[in-house]
Amino acid sequence: MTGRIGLTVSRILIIAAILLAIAGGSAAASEPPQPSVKPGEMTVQVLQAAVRGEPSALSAPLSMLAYGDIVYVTGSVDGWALLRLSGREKPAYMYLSSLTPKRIGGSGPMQTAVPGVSAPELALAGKGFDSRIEKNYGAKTHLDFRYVDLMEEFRFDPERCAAFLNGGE
Amino acid sequence: MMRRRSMTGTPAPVPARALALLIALACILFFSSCLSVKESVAIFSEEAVNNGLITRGQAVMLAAAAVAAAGIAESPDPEQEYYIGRSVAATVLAKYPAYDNLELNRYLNLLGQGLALHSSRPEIFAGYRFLALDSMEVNAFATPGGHILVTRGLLRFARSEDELAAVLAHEIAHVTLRHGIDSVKGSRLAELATEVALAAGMSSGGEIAKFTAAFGDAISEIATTLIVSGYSQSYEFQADRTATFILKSSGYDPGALARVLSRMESAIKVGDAGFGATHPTPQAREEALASAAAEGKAAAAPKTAVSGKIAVSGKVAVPPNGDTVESIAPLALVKAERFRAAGAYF
Repeated sequence: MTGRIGLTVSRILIIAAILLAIAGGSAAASEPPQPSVKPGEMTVQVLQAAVRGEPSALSAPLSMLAYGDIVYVTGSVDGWALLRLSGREKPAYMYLSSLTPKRIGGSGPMQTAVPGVSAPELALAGKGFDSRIEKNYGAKTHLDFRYVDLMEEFRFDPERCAAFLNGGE
Repeated sequence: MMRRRSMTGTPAPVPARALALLIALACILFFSSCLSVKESVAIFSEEAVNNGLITRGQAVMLAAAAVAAAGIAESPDPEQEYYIGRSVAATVLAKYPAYDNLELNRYLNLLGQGLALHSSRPEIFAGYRFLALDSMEVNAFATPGGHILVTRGLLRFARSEDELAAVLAHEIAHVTLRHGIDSVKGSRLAELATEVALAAGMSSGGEIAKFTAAFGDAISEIATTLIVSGYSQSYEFQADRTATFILKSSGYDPGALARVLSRMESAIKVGDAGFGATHPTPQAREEALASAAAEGKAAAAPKTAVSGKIAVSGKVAVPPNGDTVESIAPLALVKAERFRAAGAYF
């Protein structure tokens, strides 16, 4: 009985907390929310993002950033974020939509050495859906990810895609 | 009556304690608009621990999970969208077999990934990917992770690369506008996130099974929307309008979408499997597009057929005196030839 009450209380607690968060912060617009472009740190929210010398997908990448990397954004122009890179006088650019003002990819409010809670459990709780969940779900439902993996191998860089649109290939 | 000893050693009836906690929660929520989710949960968890309702370990798990769940409910991060998308794609592929044709799929990816560069989200977590489905049903699916699956039945409606681009641009728009996630957003996603949080917070050991159950609910809901019920009409109209902008920006004819819809109009009946069941009628979509164009909310079709004239990077030579497709043949011819070669596989 105690466990059931505990569960009920916790359920109410979390629902309330989530509703509070939603009420306080979200605007369920159809367009994706544009990140703030006030000067400051932003986080890369795509697996791989190119930093370019010009605000164009055809400009050669100066470097590549990974999901969760943090950059300092000084402003934006036509959907491109302006970055300041050390050792480079001119600004660098990356897609503004590839950045978010939120911190992502981190471990959240982690705390270790808690009796009865392992670090992986805590990491899972703080993260949500990931590859471990997919693996377990796939095994349970007998879903075949072979063609999903295959389609993900069709990766073409922007220069090649732009050349295609211009009549290449 | 069952009693539980609190941390202070004072036993009390559990229902009374639970009631006290609920009142405390109500007070916290009423007075604490300035508190974060993390702070609210921390305060309440502390009370729950002190009253012996949950353990210290569970409280820590709850705090982590509640923050994550609130994040999922408000806006799932791109990595979560990606993993949800992968499973939704696998679910679609369980119903519609992949069309294992390297040349066609390579062509669809070059074209589709090129179009996506002209969308409002040129890069997403793991990129946009396209796959043909070996089905003559007229249908297409776009997952939150950027996996876009199109049946041969739908591909056959395209008579040119511009029209094929229109079909792909519509699906890209569903991804950029986050329609997949939005279809389970709001209270339902909050509910799913709550289940995730509870799974993590209320049990120690073996939680992955419970996480998986919640994950499965999300997959199932999105897959049902995509396969059975379809997006709302307003989402379809939004995707059509966005597609015309992508087409125009990438050098394709924004009027191509209306032409495909017009062709579908006579071929698809309401209630047919696929598009007939999951989309507004082609006629309604054409009317909405025309209305949006009149209001300036969609890219209007050019006055002349200039699909080959709009140079994406300025490499296409525009003849001094002509603006017909025939007179600016190079790009138009290349597109026609590519489409003819790929179309042989539809």
